[in-house]
Amino acid sequence: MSLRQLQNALARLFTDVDARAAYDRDPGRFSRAYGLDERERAQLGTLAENAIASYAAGLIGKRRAEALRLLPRVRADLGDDFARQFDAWASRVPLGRGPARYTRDAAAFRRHLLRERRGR
Amino acid sequence: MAAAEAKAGISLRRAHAAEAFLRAEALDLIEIVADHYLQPHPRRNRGLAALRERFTIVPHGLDLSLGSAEGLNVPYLRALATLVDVVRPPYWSEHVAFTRAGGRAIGHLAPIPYTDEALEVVARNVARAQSAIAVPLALENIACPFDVPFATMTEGAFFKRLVERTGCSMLLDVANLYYNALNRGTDPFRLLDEYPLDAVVQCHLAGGHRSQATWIDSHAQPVPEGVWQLFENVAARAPLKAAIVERDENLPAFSELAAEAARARSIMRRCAA
Repeated sequence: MSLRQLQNALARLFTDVDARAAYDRDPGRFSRAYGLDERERAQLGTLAENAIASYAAGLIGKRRAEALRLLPRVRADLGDDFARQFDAWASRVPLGRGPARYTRDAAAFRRHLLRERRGR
Repeated sequence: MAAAEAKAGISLRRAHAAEAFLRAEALDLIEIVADHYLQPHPRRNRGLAALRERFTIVPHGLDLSLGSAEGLNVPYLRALATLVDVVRPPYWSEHVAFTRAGGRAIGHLAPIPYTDEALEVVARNVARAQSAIAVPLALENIACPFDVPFATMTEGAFFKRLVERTGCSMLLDVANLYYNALNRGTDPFRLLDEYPLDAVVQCHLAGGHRSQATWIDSHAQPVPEGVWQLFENVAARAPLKAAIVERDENLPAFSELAAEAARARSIMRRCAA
């Protein structure tokens, strides 16, 4: 097992809803694309069915909590719909890097909302 | 057993900063999240200088990615080294986890499989960090609701070999160990025996919550009795220098956290007697 290949696969599964769907559809194909062999694919498959999805949901929840803190006016504007809209956006947009990543993440979500409104 | 002069404090959040100064006598030391101080900013620098004058500070890293097979987050390491130079702490701490891979930031601490290969990777990354930062490093265990496949040893056995190999001490997050045990239906006291307790210099204490069938170490609740009991067991067996109470959500009044720090201090002093 190569740790680098496993980490690349896990990072993708943890942060990309489309990658999770691809893995669910065809675990063999997904694993081969990340250089994992059949035995490694089988081991990856021993993860509880919802383990990756619930871990991914936790990551988005952390991003959402930071965005809620950083965007009080958007929070007031969207009310209970903030979580639904943020989660739908964040599941397809990966978090950036660096110490200010959550600030940039919140700003990117705000820009996304503005684009959506203009597009209506 | 815990050192007679073992210290207790909190992981400082902005909401409590003013009161921490007003009631500084309630804290023996504070932990700062390193990431909050890595970008130089005049106001932040002044705040850090003021903290430095009043408290012993321990910087706590989140994003060095000691478990990354592709190597450390080098810009982060450079910024961390500068922060440690400014703060001059007795030690600093970081997690044994990976936070990025294949060009992706995960945004949180992801678990590594406990294998010989991972041990080599972490030891190599720790050596690189030690060459950039001369101050001692304490390595922390993370919370994870599931076991990563491919593991050939337990987390405790991994840490035992890692501290032997690197000469690092351990920051034992008692809450992480407790919730990991609950999520796996195992006895946390039995798990504790597997860790290198003679290398544990600091503990983290926190409270989580249950979401459906899973316990989440959310730092959103007071420290539960199960974590206090486990901490007391650690304090009786490990050369603890410090304990830090962590709280990130549902922030209570400062006095509530100070009371938890006081309880941790009292336990360590009792165990040291």
